[in-house]
Amino acid sequence: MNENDNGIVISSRVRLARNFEDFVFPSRLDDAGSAKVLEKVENALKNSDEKFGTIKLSDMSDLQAETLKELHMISDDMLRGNKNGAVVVNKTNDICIMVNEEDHLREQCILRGNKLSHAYKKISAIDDMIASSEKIAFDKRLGYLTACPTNVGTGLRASALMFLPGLGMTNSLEKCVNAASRFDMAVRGEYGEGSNSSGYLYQISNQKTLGVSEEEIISSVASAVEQIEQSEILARKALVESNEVMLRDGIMRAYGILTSAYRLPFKEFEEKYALVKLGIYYGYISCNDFNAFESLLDKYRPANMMTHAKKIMNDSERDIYRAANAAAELKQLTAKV
Amino acid sequence: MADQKMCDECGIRPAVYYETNIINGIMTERYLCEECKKKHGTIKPNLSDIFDNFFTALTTPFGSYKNTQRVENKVCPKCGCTTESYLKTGFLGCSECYKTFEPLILNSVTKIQKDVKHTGKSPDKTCSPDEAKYNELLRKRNEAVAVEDFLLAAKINEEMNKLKGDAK
Ligand SMILES: [Zn+2]
Ligand SMILES: [Zn+2]
Repeated sequence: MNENDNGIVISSRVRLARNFEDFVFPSRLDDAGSAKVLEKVENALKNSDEKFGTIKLSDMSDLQAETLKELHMISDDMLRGNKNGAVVVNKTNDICIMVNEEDHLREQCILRGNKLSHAYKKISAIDDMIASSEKIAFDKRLGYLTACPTNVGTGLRASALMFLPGLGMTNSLEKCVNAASRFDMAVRGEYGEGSNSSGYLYQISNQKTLGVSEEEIISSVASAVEQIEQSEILARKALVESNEVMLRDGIMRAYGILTSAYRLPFKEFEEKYALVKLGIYYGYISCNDFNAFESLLDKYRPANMMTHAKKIMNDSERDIYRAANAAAELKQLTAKV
Repeated sequence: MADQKMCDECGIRPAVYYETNIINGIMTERYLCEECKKKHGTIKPNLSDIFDNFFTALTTPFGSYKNTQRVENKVCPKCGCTTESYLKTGFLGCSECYKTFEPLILNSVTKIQKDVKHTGKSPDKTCSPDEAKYNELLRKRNEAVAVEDFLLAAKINEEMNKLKGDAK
């Protein structure tokens, strides 16, 4: 693993909430109107160099919807929702626009690694393209008008998904989160408020959207992320200094389970996977393809795993399948040092 | 620097979570510690709560309006959204609603947002001279922070705030 990729910042996400001026917001819009909204989004994106595809919620199987939800590409609100709810995505899946969610548009860019400002540039360009072909609801004083006034102004939420086992295990996450909240940042479990994280995954994001410019939001989230990353590195050092024997033993036992268990529920997989990832960081376990290793976590989430396997399985079948396949992949990608 | 925030629930432990909720159309913010988050955190009102809140809202006007002003029930001419439905759900029906319910919205927006004046991008992409100046100051401030010249950063920050004040 090289210096730049310590695996602490897993992904960066920037979301812009937008509405079309000429339509009432989705909660009050009829089916004909929401169909028109979707059509207008698709038309606006025809000018793009990139090709976009539309997946309508009503055409999705439950499995497909759940798979996209695990990847943060659609939201709970959408699953509950609108007949013409849809996601419009590019080929590489890093641009993903939710249509007819709470707002007409939730334009998102999700990139691997620590790339908030890159993600903002990318989604802002898409936003410009849409704005040049459709009139967007905007007010000089309040900025972009959104269905819920909590998002007015820039309509921007910037967030980073971080892997923080050092802070978690040394019980110093609190201090960090504290510092972040003083700068109007929120720290939540991976799947939003209240979701607990057995894999030490946390989301850092801005709280305020009005009275702060996009650049200001991006740079303040980025600097919070950077500070938390530095603290995580220090915590990992402290962790190994306090009792390396126990730590290394715990990590190697987790590796043992991941590579030889007969059944593995996702929660357990996530826990052990976090320890193995830490083991790679410390050099107890070698890894010949860190990107491939990083992608395992999403790949073995229940819906994603069934999508990859191309079959529907019950709980117990899934756990057995996960144990066998994850072990085989891990043995190819990693080795005990 | 700002004081360490204490938990709003118990008041004794440092707050580690920040959450916002919409109750009666008013956004409230809370700081909670780990313990209290487990006990009291994420009160996403369920349906009956929303219903209760709705009636409470009708009988007792909320927040800072308490005892000073009764809330008039307005209807948005464009979408039909009413004061009641906004208070009940926290959602507006269209962009026109922002005009219809302006005082109500500003009241909650000032509580939760940094300012009530938008700064940054707009759909027509034209950047006003003030905005351009602001962005330039922002870049300079970040540079100052990067080299740990906090005095300079504070000075630039003051200029930025002045610029924001003038824009109002
Ligand atoms: Zn407390
Ligand atoms: Zn309206």
